Amino acid sequence: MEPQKDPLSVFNHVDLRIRGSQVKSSDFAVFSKRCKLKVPGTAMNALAAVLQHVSEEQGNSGSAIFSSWLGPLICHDVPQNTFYGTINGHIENACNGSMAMLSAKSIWIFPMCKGNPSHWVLGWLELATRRYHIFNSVPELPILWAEPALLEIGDTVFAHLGEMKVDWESWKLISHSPAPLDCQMNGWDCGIFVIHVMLVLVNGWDISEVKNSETERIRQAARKLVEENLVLFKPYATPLPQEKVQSTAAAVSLPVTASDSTSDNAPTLNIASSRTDDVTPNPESFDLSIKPGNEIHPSIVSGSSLKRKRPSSSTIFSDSDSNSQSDDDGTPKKLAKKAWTKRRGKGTKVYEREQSLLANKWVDEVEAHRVKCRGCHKWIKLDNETLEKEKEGGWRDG
Amino acid sequence: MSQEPEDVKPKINLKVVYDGEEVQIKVKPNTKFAKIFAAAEQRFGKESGTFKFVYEGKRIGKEDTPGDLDIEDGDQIDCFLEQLGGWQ
Repeated sequence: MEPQKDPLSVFNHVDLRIRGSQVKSSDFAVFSKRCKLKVPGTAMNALAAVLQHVSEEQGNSGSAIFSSWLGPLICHDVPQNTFYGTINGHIENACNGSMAMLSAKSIWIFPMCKGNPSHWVLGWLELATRRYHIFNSVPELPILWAEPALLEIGDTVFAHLGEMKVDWESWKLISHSPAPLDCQMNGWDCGIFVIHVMLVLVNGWDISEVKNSETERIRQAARKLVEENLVLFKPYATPLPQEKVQSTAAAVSLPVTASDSTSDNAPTLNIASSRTDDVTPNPESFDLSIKPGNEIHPSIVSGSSLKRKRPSSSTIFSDSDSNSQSDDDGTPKKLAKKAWTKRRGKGTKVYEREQSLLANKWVDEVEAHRVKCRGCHKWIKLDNETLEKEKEGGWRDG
Repeated sequence: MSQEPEDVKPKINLKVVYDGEEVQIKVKPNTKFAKIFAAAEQRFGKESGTFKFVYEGKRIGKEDTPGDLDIEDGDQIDCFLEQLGGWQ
């Protein structure tokens, strides 16, 4: 008898995404029976997205579950890019892009993973009663980071709604943990506990049901939830080079061309440009739409994680490569590279160069060998590739 | 005398990059990425499952091979952090 095919193996064959996150079947291995793996963020966020969608379908739209990447992005632990997403994108994903819908939710749920070693906890804000809750499956484990992290995320979401200052003093913290005999007994199930609490919150169940003895049932329920809602994972249409698109247009069933970035999972951002680099569809579906007066960091637009494959033989991409060098409005990283690539003129003084760097809108601070990006708040070295120039005595003296 | 079979699939070098740090891993085109992931995580001194690996903006699956993805010698694989909570 032929063994039954795992329905989740579909993730190995098709690039399926939910809320912009690329999912592989191995992410859900944690939901296998008696699995001893730790819950990865991808599985947590995918399940959260499915859970919220299903509950909304059932008419229960009182809760919004946010991405666990929101905290690290707000704290600048990870950069905003096509892979980790953007703060705006994650907030809008939790309410299908409708801020009015977000305001109408009664509970905002935030899975959080932090600490050393990392530990999943769940925070949520109960807006009507002005209470914020933190669930920890291991009561003896101190999670001092959780409360400030939750409030910082809360601040960011409220700011997104226009409420710039939240009076947390008037809110009340409620901590939750299972009873001593029902708490997490192993080193890997905290994510399963967190998923259980999410289920409890969304369905209005009693939180005392969250017990160590329930983890196996929750593991299976989580897997079933994903299996039954595979349709929520949308395929991503791989972009093709223009030449290929033209030659294979008849064979491609999806109406996607290299200049078509409006497919289901493509971002809504569309910046007019003649650069072929810019028309490469972004692989994430995070909404990167620009709000009036709110500029977006160029690295988010260009997708820093995207690497163009080296041309194998001919010069298919040579035009675009040369075009990319003529881009005038780059990030400090590009600027730094360009500053050295374009040989400094004989008459250019150090202070002139400093002024030109300071004049760039993306430069926050300038030091002798590095600049701080206003967008991602990271320091970017100016002289990585110019050690030889260093020896000649260049910027060092500035 | 037995003749050694000729190696028709030469090994390729993969550049695995995380946070500006780079390791080179030499693999056969038909090596499964599960093995490459483990080697890279070990080289970076990280727990298994710490990273998600991306090639040209697309995530790589454990069952994929460099040959499946048309990866060539010297191509770069990017590592991105995964959240992995477990307490211990």
